[in-house]
Amino acid sequence: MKKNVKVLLAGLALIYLLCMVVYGYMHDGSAKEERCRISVIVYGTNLDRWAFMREGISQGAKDFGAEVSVINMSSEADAKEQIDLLSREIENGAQGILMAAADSEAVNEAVTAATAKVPVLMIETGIKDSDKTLGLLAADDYGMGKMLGEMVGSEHRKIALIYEYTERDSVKRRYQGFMDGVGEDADVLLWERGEGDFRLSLYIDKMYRMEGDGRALVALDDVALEQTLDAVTEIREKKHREESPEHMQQAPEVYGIGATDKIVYYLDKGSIGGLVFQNEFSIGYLGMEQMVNYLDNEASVRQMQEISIEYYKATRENMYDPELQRLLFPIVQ
Amino acid sequence: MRERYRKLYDRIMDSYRKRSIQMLITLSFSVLSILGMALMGSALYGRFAASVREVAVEDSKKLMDQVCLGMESYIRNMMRISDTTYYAVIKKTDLAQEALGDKMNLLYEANKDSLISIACFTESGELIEAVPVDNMKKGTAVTEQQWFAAANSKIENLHFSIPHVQNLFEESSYRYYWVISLSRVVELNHAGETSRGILLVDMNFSGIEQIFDKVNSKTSGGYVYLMDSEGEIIYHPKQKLLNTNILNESNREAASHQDGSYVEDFEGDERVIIVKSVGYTGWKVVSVTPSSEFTMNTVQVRFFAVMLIIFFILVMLAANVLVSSRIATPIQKLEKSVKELEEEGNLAREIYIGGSYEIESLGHSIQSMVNQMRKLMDDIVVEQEAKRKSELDALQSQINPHFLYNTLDSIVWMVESERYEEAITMVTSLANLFRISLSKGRNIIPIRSELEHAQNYLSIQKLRYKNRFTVEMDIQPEILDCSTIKLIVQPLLENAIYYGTEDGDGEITVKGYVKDKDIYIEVSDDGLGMPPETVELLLTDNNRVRKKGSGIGLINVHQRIQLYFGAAYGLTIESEPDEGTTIRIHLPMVPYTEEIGREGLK
Amino acid sequence: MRRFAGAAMALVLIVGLTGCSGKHTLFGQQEETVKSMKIGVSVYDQYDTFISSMLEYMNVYVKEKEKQENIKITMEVVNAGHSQLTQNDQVEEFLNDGYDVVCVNLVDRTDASTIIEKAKNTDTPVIFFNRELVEEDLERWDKLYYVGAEAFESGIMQGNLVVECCRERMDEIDKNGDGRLQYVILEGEAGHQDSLVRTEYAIKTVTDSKIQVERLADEIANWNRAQAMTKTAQWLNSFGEEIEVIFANNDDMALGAIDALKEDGPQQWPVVVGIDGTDVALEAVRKQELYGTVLNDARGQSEGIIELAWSLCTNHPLSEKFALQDGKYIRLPYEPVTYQNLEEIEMKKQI
Repeated sequence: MKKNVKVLLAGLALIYLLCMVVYGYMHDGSAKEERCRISVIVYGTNLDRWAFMREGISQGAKDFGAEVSVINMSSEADAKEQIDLLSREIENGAQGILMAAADSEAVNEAVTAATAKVPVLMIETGIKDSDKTLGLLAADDYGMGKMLGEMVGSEHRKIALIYEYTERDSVKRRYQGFMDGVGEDADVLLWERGEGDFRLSLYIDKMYRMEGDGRALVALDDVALEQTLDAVTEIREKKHREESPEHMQQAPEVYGIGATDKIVYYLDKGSIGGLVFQNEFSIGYLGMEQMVNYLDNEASVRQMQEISIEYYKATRENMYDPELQRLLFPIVQ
Repeated sequence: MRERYRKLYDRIMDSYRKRSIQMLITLSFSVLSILGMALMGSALYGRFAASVREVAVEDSKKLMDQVCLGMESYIRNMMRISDTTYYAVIKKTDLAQEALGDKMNLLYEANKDSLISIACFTESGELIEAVPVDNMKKGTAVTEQQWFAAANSKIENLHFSIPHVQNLFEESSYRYYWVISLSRVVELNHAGETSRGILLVDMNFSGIEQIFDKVNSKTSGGYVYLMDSEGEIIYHPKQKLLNTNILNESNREAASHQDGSYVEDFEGDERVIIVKSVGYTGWKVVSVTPSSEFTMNTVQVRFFAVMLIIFFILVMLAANVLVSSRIATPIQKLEKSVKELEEEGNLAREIYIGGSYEIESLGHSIQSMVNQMRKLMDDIVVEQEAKRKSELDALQSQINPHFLYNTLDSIVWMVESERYEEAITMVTSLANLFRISLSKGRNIIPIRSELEHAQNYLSIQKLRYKNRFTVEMDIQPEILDCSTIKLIVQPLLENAIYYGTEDGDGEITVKGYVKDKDIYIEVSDDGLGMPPETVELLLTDNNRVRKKGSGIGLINVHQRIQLYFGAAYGLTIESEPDEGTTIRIHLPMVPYTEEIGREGLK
Repeated sequence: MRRFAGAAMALVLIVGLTGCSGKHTLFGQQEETVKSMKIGVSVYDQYDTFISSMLEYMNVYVKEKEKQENIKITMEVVNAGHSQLTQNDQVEEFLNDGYDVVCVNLVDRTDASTIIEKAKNTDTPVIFFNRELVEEDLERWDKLYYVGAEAFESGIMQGNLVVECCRERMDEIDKNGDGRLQYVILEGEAGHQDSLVRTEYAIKTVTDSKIQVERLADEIANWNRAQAMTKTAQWLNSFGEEIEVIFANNDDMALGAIDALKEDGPQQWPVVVGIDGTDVALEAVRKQELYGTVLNDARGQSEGIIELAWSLCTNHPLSEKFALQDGKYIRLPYEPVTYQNLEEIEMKKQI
């Protein structure tokens, strides 16, 4: 009896010790191990224009428990660089990727290949085969373009459209929407940079002087819009110094899609006739939610198809309305 | 159905009974302690959970108080700035002569951590003075802004706005400010003429954000937010999610409640809501705590509790086993030694003495019982020995060579003397004597037969010892059919003849009677008698060799009587020197049956 | 045997109970070769022109470093918005999230203790930049660094600009011909080190070259263009033509003064000088609205910060371009800018 009892007790003690070890592991690991590592790869050199989306991303990271790093590029639209970044992130152990494509065509292959290794969710701008990834989280680009077109078309007939960054699907769709919304009888010129043109604002300035008089300027994405504003400010300045040719009566009205703080500043100043913008905070937040749920194999509260990102239009008159105010001035200093 | 339960119950009870003591103790202890622990544990858990809940609610309330204090101090600060600007600056300034700028600047510099700007307008929305920046944006419709209209509508009050972006001054960078506006109507003094103006104090909203951020980062799962009296949210940690409708909040619901706490069910979760009003503004601070904060439902706590319980069970089992073995092992050892004793039949075996007091005492008792048994068995052996020896003696005496020779000699002499009648009597008596003597080997015979034997003996002796003595027989008839062992009267008679009639003319009396339900047979003579010392020795000295007679001594008779009937019976001798001797036989009254004759007395 | 079992049980107990409470890395930490690093940056005001230009440069240098060394660098920039408390919280978050280096542009230079303590606890090096902390604080730990410039240098150079200008056209400048310069000065912040030093040395340099000065007014404009504009407008109201020189502790304020002058200035503008050499300021110099400024080498400092951060994280030696003075300081020199050397300076600012 004695021996049996001893064996039994020893066995039980061993089991207990094992359990303690497991517990300790769980207790220690649970804090860190559970957090997914997600990389967000966005196009462009400037992270400021993504400020609102990054708010959404960091809120999502906090709420859903993920470690996020947001990576931008050293050029505006270099597809190769983005592909390199993608493979670098996967190598570094990213478990999920959120991506805003710099060039929907050129990165298509690399991204669809990457989906075999890690889940990829497209945000704001997708690739040609977005359906091969987890999906595309963005507002209805066509709808935004159309809304902008209608807004511009109701005020102006002569329009110059800055045709830039169309390698991004989102911009292309906006263009289509714009053309459909602006109306049949609108006279739209397409300004597209050529080989020798370097800085966009200089190019716009040049084009404006050539054929821009009396035209409203329209840009379809925030960088183009900012550049346009730079050009227009120059033009205004020149006006102020009375250097401009006489036939230029007034500084052109600018319209566009995007809502960085610079753009909002100019909207407030009166340089912008009207804006359309999407709720990038939602894109960031919901993107995180979808990705973390997918990685945790949990069913999402929302399905991807059900999510619709809202977009709004803003003018100087209504920009201080409570709802728009919150979206246009998102961050409390 | 009940039968089945009955059977099951019986089976359980049976198996319970059959188990060893150790198992019983272990099981019982285990069950009891588990029950005890479970009861205590659940009672404690209940109490603990209740107090956790209380503590959590207290915590929330404390946090709320902290927040409210912070808010009130913020609001008071705003109000103080406004009051100071009005009473210490505006009222004391004649706008025709001085500017407000310097003094307002002082106030601004002193409070610039939380202030964005102080501005004073005319009734029509024209800017009089503003610090630190006074460059108004072109085209701002000041009178249409909410803070202006609110102040104008109720001129006696201070008006707090909801947070908004300041839309007044030119800013060269892309900076914008979220502010809370405090506006009021003021009296402007222009060379003695008073006119109405509006004083605006814009406080930095991030001040409120900081108050709430500190609190919201401490609590886990729960959070605190701020709304105005109608339920319009002023600050919420998840503000942006609310704006984009990703999240919902029950603020309208909360606005309808008085200050205090209540439980609500919101989108499937149970939450505890605490509402507290902030002074001066009618704003309300709302604390939301999901009920899961109160219950200890986390996996970790549960796991820990389970581990703890398992640990205690293990310890308890070990303790049980140890304790029960301390009790049970001595019992087992005792049981084992008794069993061995039983199996081997070896009474010399030692019993285990040890263990707890009762077991030890039991051991001692068993040991002494065994000792006693051993002694008794030894006694029996000795008794049997003695019996055997007596019987051997008696057996021996059944055929006494001396008596035989002498009697046969007498018969020969008688035949030679042609005294044939006497010879026949003697032969017949001898034959009878030996017949009864032997009695088919039986030891128990009826007293009748015994007395017959005695008669035979006497007739032989009479013939031999012609008229040396006379015999009188006085026998009660009841005793004749009672049992006795053989050869007890004859030896007495023999003694009486040899020692009681030495000088001739002896008188021998044989009496037999019942007294006190026992039988007494007395053989008395009037011979020389014996001194008391000799009487004593007569029944005790076994080594005394008999010179004459049949050889059975009195001792033998006495011993046999005692052996067969017990120590209460036997011989008693009364003797007086020169008077005579009486030897009394004391027997129990046992009616003689064939069975007794065959099988003996029990 | 019994004793052994008892001891084993006791051991199990102890291990188990300590495992339940407190942090307990049972399985140790994984060691990786450094393939990624995280830099946390907290600035006192992201809308400050100079600071925002530094951030732009830092971004570019980060990208370059990534390519050069094949390493992933995550740089997270947060705005403390003039609140030291906010900055402390931000730094704490960086430290808790395991950032490798933290770069801090202090809101309140006298209140660095919290940050230093927290950094020491987590053994994370801190690079302070642009707003210098007290020397004693910097000495508290050997992993604290400062990248910036010598404030008094900028004051001297600004003073020299005015001296130079006076040498060229004193009679133009001295509108009232009294041989003295009547000036107003826009100061950065109350009690701010750079403010005090720049103000003092600028004026001192002027007076040291035997030019007499008279202060008409000085105001604090919090490094802010709009505020400077307001103050200057007020001065123009009060003093109008009398103002001969406007000193500004930084370019933003100088530009604010110019904004006011544009709005409501006298025929002949006073000489306006600033410090920083921001792009906008250089534009103003080109347009000859701003007489001159002193280039604060944002590009050089940003590069320095990134190089230092990289060197600290990867234990590589610091690039030779930057010498660590006293093992803690990287100070880059200022350079005066006027219309003459504008081209040269603009080239310098390019990466």
